[in-house]
Amino acid sequence: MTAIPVDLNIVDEPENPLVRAPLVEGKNDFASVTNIIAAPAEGKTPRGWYLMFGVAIALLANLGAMVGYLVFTGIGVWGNNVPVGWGWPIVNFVFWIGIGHAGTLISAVLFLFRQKWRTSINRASEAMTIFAVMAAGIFPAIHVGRIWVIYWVFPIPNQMAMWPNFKSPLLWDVFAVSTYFTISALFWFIGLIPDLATFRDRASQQGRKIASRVYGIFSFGWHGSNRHWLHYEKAYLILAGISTPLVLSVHSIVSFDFAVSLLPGWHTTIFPPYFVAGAIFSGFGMVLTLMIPARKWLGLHQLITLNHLDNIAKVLLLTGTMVGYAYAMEFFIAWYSGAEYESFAFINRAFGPYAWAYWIMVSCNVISPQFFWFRQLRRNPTVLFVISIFVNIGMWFERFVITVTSLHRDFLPSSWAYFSPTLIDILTYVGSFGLFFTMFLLFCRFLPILAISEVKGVMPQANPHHGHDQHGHDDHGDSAAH
Amino acid sequence: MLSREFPEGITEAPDDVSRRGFLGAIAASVALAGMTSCRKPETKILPFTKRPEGFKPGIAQHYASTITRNGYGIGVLVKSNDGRPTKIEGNPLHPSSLGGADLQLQAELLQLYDPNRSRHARNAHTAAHAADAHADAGHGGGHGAHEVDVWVELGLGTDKEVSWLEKATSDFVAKQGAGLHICMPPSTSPSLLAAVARIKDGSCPKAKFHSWTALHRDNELQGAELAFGKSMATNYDFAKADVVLALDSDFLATDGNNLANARAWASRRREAKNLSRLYSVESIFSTTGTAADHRFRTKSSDIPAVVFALAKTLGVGGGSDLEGALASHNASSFEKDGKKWLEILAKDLQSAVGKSIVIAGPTQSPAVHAMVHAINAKLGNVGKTVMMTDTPAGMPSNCTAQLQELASAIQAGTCETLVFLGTNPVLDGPADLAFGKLLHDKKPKTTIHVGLYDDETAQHCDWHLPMAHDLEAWGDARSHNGTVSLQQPLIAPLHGGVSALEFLAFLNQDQTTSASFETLAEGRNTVFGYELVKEYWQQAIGAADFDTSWWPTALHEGVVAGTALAAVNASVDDGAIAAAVSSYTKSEGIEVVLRGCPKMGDGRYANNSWMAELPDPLTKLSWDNAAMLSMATAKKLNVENGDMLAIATSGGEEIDIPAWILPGHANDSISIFLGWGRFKEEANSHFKVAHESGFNAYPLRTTSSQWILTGASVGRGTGSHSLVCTQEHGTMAGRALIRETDAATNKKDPKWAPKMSPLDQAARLQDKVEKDINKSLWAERGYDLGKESPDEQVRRSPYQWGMVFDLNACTGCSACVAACVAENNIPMVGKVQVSRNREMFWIRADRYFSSRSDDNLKMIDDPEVANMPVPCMQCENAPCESVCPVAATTHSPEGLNDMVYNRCIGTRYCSNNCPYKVRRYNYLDYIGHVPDTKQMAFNPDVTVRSRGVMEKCTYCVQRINGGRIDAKLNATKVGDGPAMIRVTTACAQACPTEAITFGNIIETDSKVAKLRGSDLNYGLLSELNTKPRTTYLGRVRNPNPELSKA
Repeated sequence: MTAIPVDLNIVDEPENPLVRAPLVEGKNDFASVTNIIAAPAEGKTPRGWYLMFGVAIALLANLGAMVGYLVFTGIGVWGNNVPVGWGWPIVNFVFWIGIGHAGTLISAVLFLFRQKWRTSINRASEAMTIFAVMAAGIFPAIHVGRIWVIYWVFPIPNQMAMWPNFKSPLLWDVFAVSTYFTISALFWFIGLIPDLATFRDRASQQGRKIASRVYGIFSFGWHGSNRHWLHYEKAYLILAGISTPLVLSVHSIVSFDFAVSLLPGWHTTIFPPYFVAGAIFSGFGMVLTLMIPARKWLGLHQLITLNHLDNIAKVLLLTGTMVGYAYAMEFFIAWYSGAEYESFAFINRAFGPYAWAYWIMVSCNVISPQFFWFRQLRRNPTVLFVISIFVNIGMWFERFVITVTSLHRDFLPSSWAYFSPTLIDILTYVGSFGLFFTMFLLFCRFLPILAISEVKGVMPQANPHHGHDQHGHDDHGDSAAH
Repeated sequence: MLSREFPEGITEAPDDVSRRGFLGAIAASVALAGMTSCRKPETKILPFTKRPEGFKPGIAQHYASTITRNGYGIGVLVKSNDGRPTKIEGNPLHPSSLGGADLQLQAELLQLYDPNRSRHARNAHTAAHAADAHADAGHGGGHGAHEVDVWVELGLGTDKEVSWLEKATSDFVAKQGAGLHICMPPSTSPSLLAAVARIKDGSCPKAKFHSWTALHRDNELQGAELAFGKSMATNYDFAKADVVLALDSDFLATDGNNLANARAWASRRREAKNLSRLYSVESIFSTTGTAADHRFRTKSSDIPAVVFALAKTLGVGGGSDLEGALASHNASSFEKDGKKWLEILAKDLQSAVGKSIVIAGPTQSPAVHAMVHAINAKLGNVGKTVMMTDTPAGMPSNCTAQLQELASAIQAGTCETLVFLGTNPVLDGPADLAFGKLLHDKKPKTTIHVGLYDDETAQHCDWHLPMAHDLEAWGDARSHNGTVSLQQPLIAPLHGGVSALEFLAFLNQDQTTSASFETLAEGRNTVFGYELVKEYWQQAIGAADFDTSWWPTALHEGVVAGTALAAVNASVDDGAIAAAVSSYTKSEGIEVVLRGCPKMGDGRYANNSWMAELPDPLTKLSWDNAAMLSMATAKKLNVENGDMLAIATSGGEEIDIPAWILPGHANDSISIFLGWGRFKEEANSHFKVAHESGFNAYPLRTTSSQWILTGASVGRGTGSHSLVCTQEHGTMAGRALIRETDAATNKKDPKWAPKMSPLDQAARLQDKVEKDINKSLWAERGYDLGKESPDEQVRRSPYQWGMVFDLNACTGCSACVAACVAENNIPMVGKVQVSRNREMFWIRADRYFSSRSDDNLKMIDDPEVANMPVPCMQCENAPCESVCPVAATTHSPEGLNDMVYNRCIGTRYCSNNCPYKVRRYNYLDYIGHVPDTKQMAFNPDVTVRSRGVMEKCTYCVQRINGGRIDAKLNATKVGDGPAMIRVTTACAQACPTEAITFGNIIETDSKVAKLRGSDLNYGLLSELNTKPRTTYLGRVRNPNPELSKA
């Protein structure tokens, strides 16, 4: 097979259950794949990138201003009150942490399950995870009243023998999130090494010295020897193994922030699985939101195919329905338990002053993914993108509903109150998108947004028998096209 | 160098007195006065060479003093920390306090330190001073300008050669006082009355004195005059009353002698034993109305009809003209459903002959008061539960007439020199007298205002002199029953003010032992008031051991024993009342009722942030007053909460005030609290608190209708106003929070209260047996010393603190909230922050509306109210403790849920997890910008909290620790037993009805342990297994079974 020009046409083959859809479409070989993936980092920076980056940086600067104002003025700049001690910051924290779930799930869990379709989306998803966890991490830090002593949450030996309270779920959170961030970052970085080496080599061929030097530093002298690959794959497998339980643990522990309390609406054993399902749901939602434009603007149709989008949509359908089941089960248990505070909390959720938020949540999270029962819709990037936005909105509202509506009316009606955010709340939240997109845009511009080596690994050309035996190895669709 | 710890305020004494010197002066004065006194005739300031007896730096001392309210004295004990008064408590020996202190008494402390109090004498020639005063007050102080001494100002004016006063007084004397008019509030102070007499009977017989206070008792005293033919005062003994009927009377909270009355009433409501029954007929929902077993809501202007109908039913006035007048009184004017009610009430009253009380409030006409006297006489109550005494001297029954007289004198131009001595008629005078306009158009030659503030009247006067606060000046006063108490100052006047007594004596050029006109005028004097009071009593008592016994005892006890007025017999002249009865006509349309505010009084506390922010006991409104009306009336007027109402009198005065729907308010009636909405002009914006809060209803008040306006036109105004309420939800949502039952049910099952727990009910549903469903799987903290292992006993503290709220005695008056604010340095956060639900009160008085009827509409129309104070419950299984990531809130061995401010990082998780939501968070820096003078009110035993930390009730841990130290020094224990050191919390100490009991729950004989063992004892939300240390006694109402049936 000779090298052929890169064909950027979208292929939407009719479904054929007998044949496994190809993971890389079009007439691609190893070189063309490398070319496609390296193009954004090597070409001239597109004008659109500057535009988006400018917006993102502006939002990031706004975040800095908001945080500065907050630290110098006090938590009172937000809408928080008594009884609603946690408002938007905690909502945003759980929202971003949830988004940070898809990456590790895709890269670790799907890796262990040998789901090869993950290869073309895992790198960007992992990057998304890391940036989302960074955005998430800001919120618990800035939401404490005295950020200058926040280091007290760490078990740092001191002369007063003052330790943090190991019974507190907030402390578990500190450990869970920091562990998750560390492991995810390591996992991501290890995966990047071979590709960074590719970039290094290409940069040095093209005479881009600085780029070559920088990529060189981070590729740790990779030159693709068998020994390298051996170590690399072991390390990757081990980290995948370590990451997998984290996928479940992080959001379980985040859910403990709520479930361990005694507040009706929070004090629920369903929370850990429900939060994990919700996190995967929101994470995949955000993957779609990011990958659909990226694949269009960066010309990745043949690597991130409609089949990939279809698979993501199926995950969304599954997790969205699980989340819907959890919503229903909360109501059932509230009724079945006979606990009056619990019953009230849920009736209040659906019909109280925040009913609007509840029904936004239900519509976005439970109803909108139901469209994915239809194959045509699963394979329509526009529909997917719109629904992914709904999923993002819905999942933010889920956290809002859990956090605020449970707090605003708890046990003693005398304390009941309504919570409204301030402009600072809103700008801080918007600012966190600035951080996220700044990082993501930098990632798109300078790093391999797909795992080059892994994508090649799932191409028919990677099969040792490829080209030697043209009869009988047609499990990749394109081999039938000769 | 520790100079200027208090850059202004305390060091504002004349010249450059250092703080140390100031302390020296205080201490030296303690030595001089034996017991007390912050003033001393010493002019040299020296450090201690020998410490005065009893004075220990850093250790607070308590002094007995008196706060005067509407002319009557209320005995107080004031805590002084190194010369600064920091807390006001009731004096247990004083008959008008009995140890309780309501919210206005608590507020007096902040009043003393109000940064907007006037700081400078001002006259027309020294406008510069006035400018200074404004500038200073505007930013709350912090200036180094030389203070002008009031005495010097008053004596010499701007020109040292010509003494204004010398000239003026010689003028007065020459004319025998003709043209001199002095307008001052009514006062029972014997020494002040003597000073008045010295002027009137001495130098200036033609001088005119005019008594005026907005919340006068004209109606009540004129009613007595009508009934008895002479002015008489009424005192009640609610402890002896089986049946009480309150007619538009809030005797439990705002009306005269409320502390003593509330205490006596509550003594008959405890533990469901020997319960009295309280009926209330009123238009507004008052604190007394919430405590009532039966409440009948009706327009205030219809209450005469109720009283007359009642009198008729009871057969009052048999054989006299009154019988005829009552017979012709059209009973049908009383509403249909009220008739039955009234008959049953009359039967109940008749069954308690000699053991009932009928009491009417200040809004009711003299005729009603007279009729009430007749009813009490008919019921045989006089001399048993209703004691008549002579009216204490200085209590006029015609304040209105006296003010009218003054107005006519000004109008006629016969008033040459006019002195407002602590009065403010430009604000609170009836609108038809139009004092502001009068002083503008017909200004007397000289006008002098002496007052705490450069207020509305001061701004119309040539002269303004700062007045000394009650805690800054010597004086005396009589209580409602006539008992004399002395008023001793706790601190030298912060801003050089003079008291009314000193001013009058000065005007008269009275001489005392060491103070003469010259020494005063040269500004060298600080003992004038002290000598005036002391010399008065020396003369009056004349005892040989005056100096060694009488005076020190009177100062120490705060009361002079045996000075109560004797009850006298008086018979009601039925015939005289007859005319008043026949002149009554029922009014139609919407009435407007003006009332003294439980917080602002007549407006004197309008600039007091504690009073502004503290939620109103009934409406829970903060930072505003409103036109309170019923839902039906609101619908009729087409307004919702916050919509402006335009109220216009027939005299053409109009105000705009936002509406607030108060469930249970009478229909076609609007109640407005007076005393709000002062200093609205831009020029007065430096009165920060007053400027930003409330609406002034005084323009509606005329001499003829000062309380109930029947001819006013009420309509929807334009726009709306944002009213801030600290309790947005008024019902208990069907939860067993406040547990109530009636006496009959309580008799059947005395343990009904704990059984209302949802878990308890669930258990009985399942098993049909009661069982301890809160029993834990784990070993729990116990406090029964006998059952613990020796090891545990060693670790266990002998003190396990607990608190019990008796909901039977709680009236919801919110004195506990104010006391807590004063004790624990709780910041006021302002209206905007309160609107964001960030008020900082450590204890709150929850108020819930309820109804025995399932009909929601009926509930809004005519609910019952139950009150519940909620501080930190100090849970043994505290949900807040386990969730704090840095262990900033932990359990003490004594069962306190401690909050470690220094460790707190402010995650607010504890607050979220607190089912009682009693934790308060410093969302912003609420304490950093407190004006310097207000900082002097801080309790030094309680740390102030910084931004970003959580705070909450500590059970006044500083008091516990103080008591523990005392106990150790005295080799005893803290407790209720004999010779033990008593410790109580600020809320419990202030509570007028002793509804709060604090103590050691493992001391078996302690009051709190016994109450915890009561059948009525239950824990709020104890079904959550929080094991609260604070518990409640279920409320037993005592409804009339006949009426409940009806």
